[in-house]
Amino acid sequence: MTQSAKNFGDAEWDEARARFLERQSARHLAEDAGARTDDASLISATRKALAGEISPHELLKVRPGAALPFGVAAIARALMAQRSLAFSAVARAASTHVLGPREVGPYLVEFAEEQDAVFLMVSCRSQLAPKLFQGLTETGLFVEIELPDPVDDIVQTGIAKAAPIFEDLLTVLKDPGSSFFLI
Amino acid sequence: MTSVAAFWSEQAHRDFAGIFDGEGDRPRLRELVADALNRGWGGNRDKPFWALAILAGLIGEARARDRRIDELALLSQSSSRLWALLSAWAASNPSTRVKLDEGRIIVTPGEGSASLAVTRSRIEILRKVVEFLLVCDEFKFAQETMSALQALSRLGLSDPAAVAEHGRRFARAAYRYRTDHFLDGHASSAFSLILRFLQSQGDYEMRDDSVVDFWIWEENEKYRTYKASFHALADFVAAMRDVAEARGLAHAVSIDDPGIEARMREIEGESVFTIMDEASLIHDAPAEGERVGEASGPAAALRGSTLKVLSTAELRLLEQLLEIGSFGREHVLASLRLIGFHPVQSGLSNSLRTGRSKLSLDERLTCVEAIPYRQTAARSVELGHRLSEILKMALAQRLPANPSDARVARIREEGVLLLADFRGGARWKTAGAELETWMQIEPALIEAQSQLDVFNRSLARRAATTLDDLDAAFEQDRVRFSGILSERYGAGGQASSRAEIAQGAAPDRKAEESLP
Repeated sequence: MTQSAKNFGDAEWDEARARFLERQSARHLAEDAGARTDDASLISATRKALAGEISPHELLKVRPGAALPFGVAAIARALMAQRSLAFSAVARAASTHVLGPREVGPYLVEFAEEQDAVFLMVSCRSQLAPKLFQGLTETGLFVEIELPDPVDDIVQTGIAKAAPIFEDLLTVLKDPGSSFFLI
Repeated sequence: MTSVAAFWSEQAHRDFAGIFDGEGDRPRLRELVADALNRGWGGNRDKPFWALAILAGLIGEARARDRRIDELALLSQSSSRLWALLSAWAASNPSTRVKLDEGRIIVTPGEGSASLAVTRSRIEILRKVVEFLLVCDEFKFAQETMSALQALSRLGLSDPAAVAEHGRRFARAAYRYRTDHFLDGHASSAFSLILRFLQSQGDYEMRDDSVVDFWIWEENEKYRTYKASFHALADFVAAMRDVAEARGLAHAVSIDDPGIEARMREIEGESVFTIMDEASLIHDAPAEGERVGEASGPAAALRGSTLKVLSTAELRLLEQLLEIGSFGREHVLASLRLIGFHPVQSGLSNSLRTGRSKLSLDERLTCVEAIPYRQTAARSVELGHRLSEILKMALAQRLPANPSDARVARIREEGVLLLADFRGGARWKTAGAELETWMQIEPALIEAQSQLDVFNRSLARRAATTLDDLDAAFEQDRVRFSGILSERYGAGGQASSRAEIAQGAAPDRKAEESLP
């Protein structure tokens, strides 16, 4: 200790200062077991979703009514993509408020907005028919629709305006930044 | 938490706590992850992120052949499961990039590039590092981190430049986080404080008394507990040593320089390094204390085993004696004070905070609860003997029945006798299962025993020279600590101590558990 200090120049002292701060800051971070946060439940749910203990859309429900950090939706999207037959992260033609057709992997997904309902059609193109449609906006708005069996390789379903999911579904479908998943 | 000596923002403390929430008490893993995020590996803060990119690439490589490994396996699988899958894959698919060597997966992403040794404990640390990157700062870096993990998983190790670039991106995210959350100015003043203290002492010599002198130094308003003062000086000495060692390598110095000697030991001790270049030697320098192979440390490894070789009290003492580090093992009186009096100070803080206490304030201030040095010393020596016995039992099962070496034969014989009396709490289905469990704790036993041995030797040296009577030394300190603590926490000092408590000193439940 004494010997080292005697031979230290400015550069050595600067380096020693940096090394000391690293050690102390690591120690303080590791020792403070008491820190808790409003986000604790969100962080904990995220880790559970990543470990497969809860589903990604349960993660999206952790803060009902409150805005979800973009990053949480990104994690949910990655997990949902991993579990789906096919997914599309973003509409290829990113024009707003257009329910245009979207290529989702090998599938083609189309929508038709009628006066009292919105219809969803999935052309399976000889692929395994999906059982579930999921949509997720970048802000974490999530919708899920069970799909019926295909007829002539096309899955078709309609959601009535009176259905509770209707408004959310339209928001998801009209947002070109939404991700679609077929499961 | 607003610590008196804060280094990180409150948000950083919450982010860090978040990744350990619900995982039980894993202090050693917390230390190793905090170390990786603050100090990096081998003196380079970017190395863990470089390692993270390579590990993600390795997962991608293995995933192409083994469908049990998914794209986000680093996050979805337990570390032991992922380690088992990756090492099995590496064993059956050796290549120029990946090979299994002495229980580690050696990954060399490109020709002539540095290598990374992947171990189970490294996977565990890197998993926490990536969790931190995902959740920190309100999930600010989650999207880019997820995309990078997915890209690496698809890429495997086929493009070393891309792997390196992803590593740099992880490191950049960590750098941005640090810029926002590290309280640089505040932290730097902690270093200046210690320098001023040492200057005030007239030399830079560190003695046992330096800790208590620093703790009560009038200018020291940052480190308000004996324990925090102890660790601040320990970190200061370690930082000086880090620099002296690095400088020893950078300039032509005497061969007796401790820096040279340490590096020589490092090179000679690890044969795998000799076949790699200098850069890989730096990459591969294991995090301090990581050699035991368990990210949780020797005490936790022993605590977690189905084989109950030590009592709870013995484990707690072992943890304390490992926690003091090399500084504490060199300054035994300073350590005896820490073990003896920190529980008293912690108890005072907590009882003032909560209003609950087994003893009255006045009784506490007499330090009647302090742990006598003789008691700690005797328990430490006893624990050392106990660990030797346990090691003999572990070894006895692995030594041949009739060894030709007389010393080996004696150890085996003693071990067999000890084993006959030992009831470790576990019941075995087969002799193989029993042997395997003993072998699992063997590295932890060796590590614990060797560190305890250093402490006990220092203790014996100290006791034989200046500490003729441990009881006398303890009584003298009890009066001194009682005076200091009364000044801070007694009737006259309560106002300031309350303010101090409000400012930070986190509750130390473990310290209170040590109280008699």
